[in-house]
This record gives sequence, C-alpha cells and structure tokens, in this order.
Amino acid sequence: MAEQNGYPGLNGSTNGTQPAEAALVRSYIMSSGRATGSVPLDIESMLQLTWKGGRELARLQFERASIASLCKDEILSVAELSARLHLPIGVIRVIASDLIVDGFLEAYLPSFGMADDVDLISRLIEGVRAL
Amino acid sequence: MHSELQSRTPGRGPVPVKIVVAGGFGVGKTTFVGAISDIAPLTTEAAMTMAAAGIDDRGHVSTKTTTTVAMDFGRVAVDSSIVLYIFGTPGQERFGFMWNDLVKGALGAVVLVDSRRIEDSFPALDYFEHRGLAFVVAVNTFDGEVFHTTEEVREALAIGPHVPVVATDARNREAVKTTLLSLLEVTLQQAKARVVRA
Repeated sequence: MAEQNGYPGLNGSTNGTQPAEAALVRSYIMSSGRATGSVPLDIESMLQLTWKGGRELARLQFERASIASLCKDEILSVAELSARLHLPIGVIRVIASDLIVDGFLEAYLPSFGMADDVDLISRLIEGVRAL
Repeated sequence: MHSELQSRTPGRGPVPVKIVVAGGFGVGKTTFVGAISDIAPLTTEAAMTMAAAGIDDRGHVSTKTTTTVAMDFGRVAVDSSIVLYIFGTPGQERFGFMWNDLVKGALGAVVLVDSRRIEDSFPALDYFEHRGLAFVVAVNTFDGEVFHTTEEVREALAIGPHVPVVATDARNREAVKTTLLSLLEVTLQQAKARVVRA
C-alpha cells in the first residue's frame, strides 16, 4: 500500500530518508517557485515558518503573508490554513509550495509508507488509547 | 534557500496522520470528528458550496437543515509527535471526485452507517474496497436507538469477515475512541501481514 502515499516525505519522517528524496527536493530548488504547486502537499501536510521566513515576514504580502503569519506560532496543516483563511485548499497548496521553495516555510509531510509502519501504527494505538 | 531545504532532518517535527470518516449525508460524520478532536471541527472552503445548497434536502433527514460540500475535519495530538487529522468526506456522491484528494495517503477509513439507511454507505464501501484502504464499518446509534444489529448490517452490506463492523455513538468520545482503535488494529494487522510477506 506504499502507493497510497505516492511521494517521499520531505522531512523523512519516521521511515528515514529515501534516496529519491534528495533529487526531488533539488528539483524544487531549481524551479524557484516558478512551477507553482511543485511541492506535493497533502491536505494534512503541516507547515511551519522557518527562521528565514520569520526574517522576511514583514516583507511578504497578501496571502503569502497570511499563510506565513499563521505558521509562525503554530504548525498548521494545509487544511487548517484553508479553513482559517477561507481559501480553497488548492490555493493554499500553491502558495505554501512557493513559500517552501523560497525557504520561508518548512513542511512536515505524512510518513512515506505509513500503512506498513508497524511502529508508527503501534504508537498511534497507544496514543489513542491514552486520550 | 538551499540550506533550509537541506536542513530537514528525519524524525524531527510532527508526523501528520490522516484518517477519513465517510458515510451518507446526515449520518453523523462531523459529530464523530467533533467528539474526539482537540479543536472544534473546521470546515474547508469548497467552490461548490452554494451550488450544492438544497441538493441534499432529503425528506427523511429532517433534523439536518444545513450542509456543506466541503470537508469537516478535526485534529488530535496523539503523542509528542503524531498529529491525527480526521476528515469527514463530503456526504454527497456527486462530490466523489474530491475523495481521491482526500483519501490519498490516508491510513484508513471509518464508514459510518445509519442503520435506517444502510444503502447510503454503499458508495463509501465500494470506494474504499476499490482503493484497498483499510476500513471499519461503524453503525451509529441515534438517540440510543439501534434499528439493526451489527450482524444484520454486515449481512446487508455483504461485508467480509476481515472488516470489523462495530456499533458506535458519534456523540460519545469513548465510543469514537473505541471505533478508531478498531480501525487502527486492522491497519496494524495488515501492516504486520505485509511485513511478514516481504
């Protein structure tokens, strides 16, 4: 079921870094944000302002500023940003993707191969039981 | 910008996990999400919200007066790093196209069933079976009333023995927790089975 999540996690997550990731990440850098939406963000992908993003925050405008600001104190998913800013998920994806390419946002993507990750699922079970 | 991208190191930061709650219109998906979520369920914007108004005004779901084609979802901090997002699918079949986006990367799904309208859950069941996504069927209790037993629902839906059919109460946090645990147990068993095969 690895194809369920058909891309590698940028943060490597719990499954470690796949060899393909480095090449994928490099392609984002080369695109320099021109190919919008180039970072494959899922609706549950989480975003956080980087140090560089914080430094540049005051200079950002419009939706870029709104998204970056919300990700300053909280790590928020694409879906949460969409809900809070009343913007369609697709719009958040494209703009957040650009902000990642610019180095202003850091993305935490779902774990690649999560459905096969016995450790992760076991932790989930423990965690939900303890809720 | 190079350094920022390279600075992403494995195992750092939150790990988002997505579970989907599907089922017919008015079956209690948002209630289910709200019962377990750390935050009040949020709704994402969908372009078709206005166009869809009224389409699902089905006479026998009289207690639900408003609907949205958008996804309602909640968020649960499961431990220090895992963040569980629970998304309710839009209840309308005509918006099935949104599901691919929604289901991609999901760990599993809960199919909520109103036992008075069992047939409403057919599209969701078909969809998850087709996708090969782990799921459980949860028969929601409405005001304490159960119209069919879980075994009757299993039979009516022709669900194989590998899929749990459980009773739940979407308003009750413990019941929702138990339902999620039954789904997680299924995903665990499937993951273990694949590890053994591999």
